[in-house]
Amino acid sequence: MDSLSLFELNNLVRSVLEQTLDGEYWLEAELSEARLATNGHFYVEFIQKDASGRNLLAKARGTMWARTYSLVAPLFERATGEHLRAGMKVRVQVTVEFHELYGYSLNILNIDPSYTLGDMAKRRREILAQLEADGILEDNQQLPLPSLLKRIAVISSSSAAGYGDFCNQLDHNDYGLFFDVRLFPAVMQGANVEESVMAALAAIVDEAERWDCVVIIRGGGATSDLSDFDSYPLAAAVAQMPIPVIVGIGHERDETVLDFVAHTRVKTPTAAAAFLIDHGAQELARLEEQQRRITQGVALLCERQQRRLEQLAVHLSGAPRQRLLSEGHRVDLLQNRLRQSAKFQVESSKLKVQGLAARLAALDPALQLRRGFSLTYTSDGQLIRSAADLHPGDRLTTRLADGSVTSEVI
Amino acid sequence: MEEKTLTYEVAMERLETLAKEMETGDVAIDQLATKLKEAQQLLTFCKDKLTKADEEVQKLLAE
Repeated sequence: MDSLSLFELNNLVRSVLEQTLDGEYWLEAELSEARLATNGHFYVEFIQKDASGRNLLAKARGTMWARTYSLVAPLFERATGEHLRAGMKVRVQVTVEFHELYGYSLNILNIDPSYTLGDMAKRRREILAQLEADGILEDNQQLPLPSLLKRIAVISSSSAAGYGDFCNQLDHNDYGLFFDVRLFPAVMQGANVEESVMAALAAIVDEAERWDCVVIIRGGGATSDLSDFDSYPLAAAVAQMPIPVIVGIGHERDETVLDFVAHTRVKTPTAAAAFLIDHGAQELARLEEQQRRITQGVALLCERQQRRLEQLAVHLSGAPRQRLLSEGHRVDLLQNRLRQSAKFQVESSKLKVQGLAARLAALDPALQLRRGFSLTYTSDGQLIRSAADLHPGDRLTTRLADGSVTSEVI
Repeated sequence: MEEKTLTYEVAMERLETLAKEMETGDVAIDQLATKLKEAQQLLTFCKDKLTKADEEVQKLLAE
C-alpha cells in the first residue's frame, strides 16, 4: 500500500486549494491579533465568534506583506483614524494560501476602511442606545455648570503634550484668572483606556466636592485610536459623574460616545482650556456689571438724596430769616410800647403826686383852725369826737388857730 | 453671612439683589452705607475667588 510523505500530502492539499480557490475573496472578520514585525510584514489573526460573542466559530492566520502594508495601512489610518489592531472588525481582500510547512493562511491584498468605520459607528450607536435605554445618556449634560470653574480635575496622560498645552494656557490667561489643577493620570491610548480612565473617574468621585469639573484631555495625533473611548462602561461612568465633565480628546473628524455623554465637548486640550478661561472671563464681566450697577445705583440714590437735602435747605434757610425778621419787628414794637408805657407811667405819677400834694395841703389842720374850726381834748390829751364822751365836771382844752383855752363841762 | 458658609454662587445672588435694590432706589439712606460696604465686600470676595488661590485648596495640594 502506497503511503505519502507529509510534504507530499501537504503539497496535494496546496495544489487542490490553488486549483479550486484560486481567486480573490472579500472577507469580513474580526482581528484578534495584529502585529507589525520588524521586517515590515504585518501579521494578524482573524476570528469569527458565534451570536453570543463568547465562542469562536472560525479562526485563520493572515499576513500582509510589507510592500502591501506600506501602501494600504496609511490609507486605512487616514480614513478611520485608527491603527489596524485587535478587536477591530475589518473587510479585507484575500487570497487563500497553503504552505507545506506553515499551513493555511490568508494573504491580505487590500482593506476596505468604510466597513471598519461603519462597524465603529454601529458600535457607538449601540452604546448610545443602551445609555438612553438606561436613562443616563443626558445625566451629565443636565448638571448645571457652576459659575465658578476653578478647581479642575484633569484626566490625562502626564506625558502627553496635550496636558502641558492645557496647563500652559490656563496659567497664562489674559484675565488673571486662577485655576487649581490636579492631574489624575490615566492611560489614554490602547487596550487599557477604559479601565484606566474609569479608575481616575472613581478617584475624583471619591472627593467630588473638592472639584468644580472634570476635564478629560488627550493630545491628538495622525491616528488617535478614538475607538478606545467607545466603551459602554466608560461612557456610563462619565454620564453619571456628579460634576460636569468636559472632554477634549482631540480628533478633527470623529466623535466618540464620550462626546455625546459629556457635559461639554471640545476638539482639543487647548480648546478645553479656552472654554474654562472664557467661562471665568464671563464671570469677571458679570462682576464688573454688578459693580457698575451698584455704583450707578448708589450715585443715583446719593443724587436724589442731595436734591432732597437742597430742597430742605431752601425751605429751612427761608423760614428762620422770616422768623428773625418778624422777631426783630416784635422786639421793636415791644420797645416802643415799653417806651411809651414808661413815659405814660412817669406822666401819670407826676399828676398823681400833684393831686396828692393838693389834697395833702387841703388836709393841713392849721388851715382848718384858721378857717374857724377848733380841736378839743380831754385833760389827759384825748381828742373829743362825740358829746357822749363828756361828763359834767370834765375839764377841756380847746385849741384854736392862735392859742388854747381851758373850760369845764356843766 | 459667615465667611465659612459663603460660596461664590450665594455671593453672586446677593450682589444681584443689592444691585436691583440700588437701581430701583429701594434702599433707605441710613442703610446705604452698610449695603454699599456689603456689596464691596462681596465683589472683592467673588473677584478673589476667580483670581486667587483658595487657602483651603492650597492646603489640600500641599498634603
